[in-house]
Amino acid sequence: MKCQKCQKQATFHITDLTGDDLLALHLCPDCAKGYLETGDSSEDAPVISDVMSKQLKPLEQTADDLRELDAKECPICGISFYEFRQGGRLGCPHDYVFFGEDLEPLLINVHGDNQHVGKQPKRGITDTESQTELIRLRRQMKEVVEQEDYEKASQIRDQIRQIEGEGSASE
Amino acid sequence: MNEVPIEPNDIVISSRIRLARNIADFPFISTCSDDQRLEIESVVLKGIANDQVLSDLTLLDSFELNALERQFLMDLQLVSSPLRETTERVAGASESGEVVAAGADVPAVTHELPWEELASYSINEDDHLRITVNRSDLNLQAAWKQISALDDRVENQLTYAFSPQLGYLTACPANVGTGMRVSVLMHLPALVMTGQVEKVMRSLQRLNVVARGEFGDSAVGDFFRVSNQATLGVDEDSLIEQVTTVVPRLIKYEREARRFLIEQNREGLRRDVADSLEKLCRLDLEDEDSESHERIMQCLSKIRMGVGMGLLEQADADRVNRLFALVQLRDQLVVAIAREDYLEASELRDRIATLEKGGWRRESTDSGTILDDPTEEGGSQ
Repeated sequence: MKCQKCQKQATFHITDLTGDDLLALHLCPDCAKGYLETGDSSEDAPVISDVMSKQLKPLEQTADDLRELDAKECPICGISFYEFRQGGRLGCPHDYVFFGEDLEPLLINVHGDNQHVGKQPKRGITDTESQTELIRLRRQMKEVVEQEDYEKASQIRDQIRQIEGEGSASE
Repeated sequence: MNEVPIEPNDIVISSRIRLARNIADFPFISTCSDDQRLEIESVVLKGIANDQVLSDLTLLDSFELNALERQFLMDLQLVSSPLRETTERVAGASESGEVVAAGADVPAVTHELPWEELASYSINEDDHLRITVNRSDLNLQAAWKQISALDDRVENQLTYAFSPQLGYLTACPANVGTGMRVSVLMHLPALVMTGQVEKVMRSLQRLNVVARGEFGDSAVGDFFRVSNQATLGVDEDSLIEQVTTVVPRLIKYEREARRFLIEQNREGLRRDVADSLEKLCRLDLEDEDSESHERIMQCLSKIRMGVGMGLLEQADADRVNRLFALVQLRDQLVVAIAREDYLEASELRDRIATLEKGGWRRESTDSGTILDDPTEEGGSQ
């Protein structure tokens, strides 16, 4: 029998008597441990790094796969998947696109879903590409300023202003 | 939802909704430079200033707050953590989203609004912007209406990071989607005392609700914040329903546990509660040491339960009431001093002194402790 939460072999068969109804659960050792542990300390519950560590093991990834995934870096904000796994925080909105496939199992585990329903911005969805570009340019700007390449910095500043200008013109 | 909202009682304390939002053209906080944080702050503040209703909000800079003021904001649930190094600002708005007097260092409270119902915007906490609405009752539908309106006002000025598939994009994937955390603060001492609390909390998991300890170490407290687990794939109304449906169930379990405790050993329990009151009298309430804070909370928890179960003798119940009145007056004093309203401050000091003389401690000999004005240096500027 396979684990209800991941695809590993279920070795724990739990009958939960705490609610009004009986609940039968078939879990692998990792998921069972997660199920039996309660009380985390953050409102961003469950703590992502905990979920991550449970999440990644059941994928039956080899050490090499994991190393490769950890080394992946978002071209926009520069955060690596390893840094995300450690800190539990993403670096920029584009990470949801860039790490999309890698995040999907995590989202399913935490939320049980991967499609938003509910409130949406009234102004409609804006062009995320130009906003991602802005994030990238601002980061690049910081780098060239650190390198004291002011000529390049002024070029980037003009690009930023241009995109910002387009944005406000369309509003 | 057709259920009548539950009024706060000896088990349900308050409720809250929090929305996490980020501005589309900046990285999330973890990868922001200090300059970018300042830029985000100024972009959000500019947006707020552009809105007619929001433009008069009280702004608080965490750099300028002292520890006590910070604690005061934490007590009001307006900020979620002790002092931070980063720039983080809080703006207090009244329930209708209109303005609270501006220019003070702490949220100045006008109207007849209970402080517990202030709304706030926090900038540069975990997300660029977090909007919080607190309620002293369980009317979460009203809280949602209010917070959604506050959200709309900001959204008119800024572009949020949003994707049609994943909803509002947040720094932590656990908040993505609605970005909404609905929670109810509950006092469950009898479930803790009877050792059932973990089992009960675990049973919440399959109802998509999680509980965590509030006020200090989750392992020892009797206060729990019950909130929605998922934020993606469930709309806001359903999230509210998920949380509110478990509340009556938890109340029932707690009541059963209390009844069991009384049947087991009423006299022992009564003595326990009375002892907690005596112990509290001997504790230094101004001590900022976290261990003594923990002890104070434990005493308060027992006393609160004792009041709820009618275990205190009338004289002791009166002392507890005076204690709560004192705490409230002291909070008001902090606000008055921060607003440099010395007339009101002196009036409040008189009222505190009168109450102190009445004696909430049995022997009123050491009445100095609670009266000592911890913000004296702030007041004499």
